[in-house]
Amino acid sequence: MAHKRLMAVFVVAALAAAACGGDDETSTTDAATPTTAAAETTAPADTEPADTEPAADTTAPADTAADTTAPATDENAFVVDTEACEDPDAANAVIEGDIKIGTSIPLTGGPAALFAPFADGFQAYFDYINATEGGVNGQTLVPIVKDDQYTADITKTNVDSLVFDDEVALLSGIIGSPNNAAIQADMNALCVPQLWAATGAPSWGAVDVYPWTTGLLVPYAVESRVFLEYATGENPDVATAALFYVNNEFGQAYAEAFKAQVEEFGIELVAEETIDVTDSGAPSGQLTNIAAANPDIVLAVPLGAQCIAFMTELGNVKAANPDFAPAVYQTATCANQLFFGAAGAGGDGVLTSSNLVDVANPENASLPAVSTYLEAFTSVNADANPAGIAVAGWLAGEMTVATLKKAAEDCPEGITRACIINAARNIDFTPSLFREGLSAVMNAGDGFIAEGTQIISWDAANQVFVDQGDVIDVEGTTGVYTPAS
Amino acid sequence: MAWPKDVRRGSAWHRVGQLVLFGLVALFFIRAGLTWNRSGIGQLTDMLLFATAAVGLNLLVGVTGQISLGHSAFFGLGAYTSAVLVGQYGWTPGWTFPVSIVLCFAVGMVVGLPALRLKGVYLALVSIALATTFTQLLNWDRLAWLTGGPIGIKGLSYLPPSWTPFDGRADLGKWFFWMSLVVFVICTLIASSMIRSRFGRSMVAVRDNETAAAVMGVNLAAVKTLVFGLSAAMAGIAGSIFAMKLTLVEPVVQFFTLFGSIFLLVMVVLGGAGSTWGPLVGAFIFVYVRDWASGVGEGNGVLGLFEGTRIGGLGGIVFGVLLIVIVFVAPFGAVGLLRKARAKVVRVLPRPPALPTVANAQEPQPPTTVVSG
Amino acid sequence: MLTVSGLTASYGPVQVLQGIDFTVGDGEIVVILGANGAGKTTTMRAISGTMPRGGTVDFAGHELTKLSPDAIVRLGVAQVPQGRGTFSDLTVHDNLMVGAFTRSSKVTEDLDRWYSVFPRLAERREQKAGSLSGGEQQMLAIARAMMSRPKLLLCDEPSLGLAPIITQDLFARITELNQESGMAVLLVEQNANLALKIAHRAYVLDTGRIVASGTAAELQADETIQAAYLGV
Repeated sequence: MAHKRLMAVFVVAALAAAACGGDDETSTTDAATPTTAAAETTAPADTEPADTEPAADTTAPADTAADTTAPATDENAFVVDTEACEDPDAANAVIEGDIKIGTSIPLTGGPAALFAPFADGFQAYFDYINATEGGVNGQTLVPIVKDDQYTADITKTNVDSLVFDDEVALLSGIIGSPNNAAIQADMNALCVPQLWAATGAPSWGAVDVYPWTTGLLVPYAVESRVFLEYATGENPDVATAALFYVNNEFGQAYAEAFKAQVEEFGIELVAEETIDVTDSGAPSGQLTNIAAANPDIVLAVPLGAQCIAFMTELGNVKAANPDFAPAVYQTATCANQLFFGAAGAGGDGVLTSSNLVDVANPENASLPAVSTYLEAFTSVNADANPAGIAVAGWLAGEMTVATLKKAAEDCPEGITRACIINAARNIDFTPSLFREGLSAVMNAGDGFIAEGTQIISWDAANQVFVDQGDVIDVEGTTGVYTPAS
Repeated sequence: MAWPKDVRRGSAWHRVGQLVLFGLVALFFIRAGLTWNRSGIGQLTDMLLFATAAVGLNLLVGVTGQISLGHSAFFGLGAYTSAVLVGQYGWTPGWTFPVSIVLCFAVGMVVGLPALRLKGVYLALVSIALATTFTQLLNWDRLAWLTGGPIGIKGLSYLPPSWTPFDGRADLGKWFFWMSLVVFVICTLIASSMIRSRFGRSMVAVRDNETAAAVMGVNLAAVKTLVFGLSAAMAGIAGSIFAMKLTLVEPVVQFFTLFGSIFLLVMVVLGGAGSTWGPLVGAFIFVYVRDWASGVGEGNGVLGLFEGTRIGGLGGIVFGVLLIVIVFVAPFGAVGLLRKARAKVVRVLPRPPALPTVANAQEPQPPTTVVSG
Repeated sequence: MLTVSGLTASYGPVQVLQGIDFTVGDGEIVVILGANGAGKTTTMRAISGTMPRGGTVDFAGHELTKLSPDAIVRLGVAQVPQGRGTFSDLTVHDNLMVGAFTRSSKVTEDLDRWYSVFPRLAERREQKAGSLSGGEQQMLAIARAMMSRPKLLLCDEPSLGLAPIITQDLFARITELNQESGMAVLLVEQNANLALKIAHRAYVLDTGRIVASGTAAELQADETIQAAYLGV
């Protein structure tokens, strides 16, 4: 019996350690999970209000936006082929009664603190539409949220249950690259719309191979291109760059895009440093190497709490090397007042980006879209912070409703799954919280909705983000994604 | 006759009882396989795969008394072996399974070597190191050509071959279910016949009293490394199928991390360490409690206890509490509890004492040990 | 049969056996007496190979210090460990089967023999060893050791925790086994009076050294030794 007791004590201790590790993102194995997750969702909120002047200068080609936001021409219209479905009839069956919308996100487990508000924002939008418009097409919207602890196999189990037990009409707003990847093949074979995957990986734009899956966030490649355009616009003499990234799927997606793009811009990559997912210490060695290479610009892609450690250490290295003063851009996943505020002087002047208005900024409170959001969000969860990830949940809800409305319009005889995915793949919509000048557009030749963003920088003295230049919109430039195999 | 009724072990009634129990369980699975929808079958398949790994771990922990918190590494190794062979080298998934089994068996034997010198807490620590090192290796740049590094290997699939009665993608769920069921049954049969064998007695002897076992001539090194190997092989084949079902492998899959090790150990203890039915019962409880904890719907958290707070690791807390309760209330796990409940109705008596002359005429009976039904 | 010379053994930095010499002849019952902590159990473990040891232990021409415990059992040295060491989760029958682990032929025959020698065990054949009384467990431990058909039986404090009457019965059994099969017995005991009654020769162990030796009768007669080491 003794060994059983011992075993139990061990397991309990390990569970406790694991649970704690998840919370504070120490270097337990699972701490990787929250941080990975953090990287793959926007932290769009805590930013200055959009510079509402219409963009007319060179950095933000307003005409580009105008071109691509024009309605898709017929040859550009996407039409799904339901013959490829396991059950073509199901894909073309009219959805009667309530429209059930399934999602699977981490509510418990390590990443929960970061992600759970997404569910509230998501729920809030459907509540709002049901209350003010009676749903879509007279059909009530019923979101069903399941918890996957950011674990791909649970996502799969949840989605099976959503599709076969709850019989949802569509899925929307599922968080995480691995989680969406785990169900992508299945959902495309079953022809269940897997809309607005809350990640920025390129795979969601594979219009030809996986038409039934669409992404929500600014693709990472777009983000790094926007930074390069901004940096070279500010300083045409930029000649050298350094890259710091977390060694996982998210960081590598960024790194690949950035390396290809610096070449295109004629910039030499002089330093490349990585950090492990589980490493929560200060990246001293990496930043010392970067400082030694003395690049003109630095792209930093840390994960979660690593954002803080990176900026803090950046401050130290800058203090030790007065000549080291590059333009530093940190991924939009770090664009969060909490992270920048915690970094002290090191965060000052560090660039990042956001494509959404800052709902936390009192100056924006008067905007109707912001007050609508705040009111709706508070009615769902008065205790949660409405900024940050919650806004992305609201955005996912809004995009879902926009898709359903378009589907109802395009298919007067009734909404079907095929109508839904056609509507999503041909969407042309301006979400209420998008910054001025940006819109969500997709068609047969454009697999991504969000391809523009606003560069912002942190003002440590006033603890606010300040817009830098104008919204940069490269809508339509990413095209579609073709998987390697 | 008043309750509880007495039934002698090995008697006709005892056998009938065992057959009925076995039949009910078999009926449950066959019915589920034929009538459940894909979601239900998918979950049941996961349960069977975890149970298969738990059968292996039970041999090691429950029967032989060697603690391992490193079995996620074997589960993951099996998964990655199949994923690499299928994803990078284009093998047919079915052919990768024997490779997984052999590789995990060999690695398990090697990993069992520390168990020759270490006991209890120290062995547990070494096995934790194994679990964490494994995920580090998966993330390692230098191995990324093989493992895909942090990104892992995606786009795996194992469609039912044409000789099976399954119809392509539409029957994918059933194909994996029946495959997992067969593998689980085979592993359980291997485990239970092993427990009843001469080797099995020496496993229990090692657990009960290592020194005494050694002075009876039990080769501790052979027993420990063999059981480690076998246990790893069972986790490996479960991992292989799991990867094919999940269609991808990557280092953050929970069952490839230390969490997986903990969960497998939880299943063994919940079910009843050392018992034949334990791993199945433990995996069943695990999968359905996890599902119950994830179905948050309107409120947040289990029973609304944590409404609005959404603390991290709720699943961990639920299992932690369950485990503490089980260990102190029912040290023999769920199977032990069920036995206790059964004892209110039917009491199973030991076999009648065999007279020497009678025993002389026949081979020794299959021994009935603590681990037998 | 067994010649031990210069046997040393340590637990970490603490040397428990300081280099002891003794012999057990064919068919002999030899007892090693000593108080708690004298090194009696260590001596047994050093012979059976379950702890690191130095010096030489010659058993019928084999050097035991170079062999693993299971190899030593195969040579015909069986042990009844201290505290009996029965496998409490195994049935009586299975305990005996583990005892026969090194053999594959005529196991059933031996089972019958030991069931007839110890009828109590036959009655409790399907019971878990953990449910037996102390005396029954001790019988089981001896029967289990006998299942390997040893040439030398090592008995570590068989009287521990047993009522004197049961101990007497047990020692009578050991004597019978010795007389019937000519099996040599090395017994370590704290209970000098009982042990000296069945032993041919005896050694006295004190803090890791042999301090006295002689025939059982000699030691029984030697009052100084009785008073100094055996607490009588």
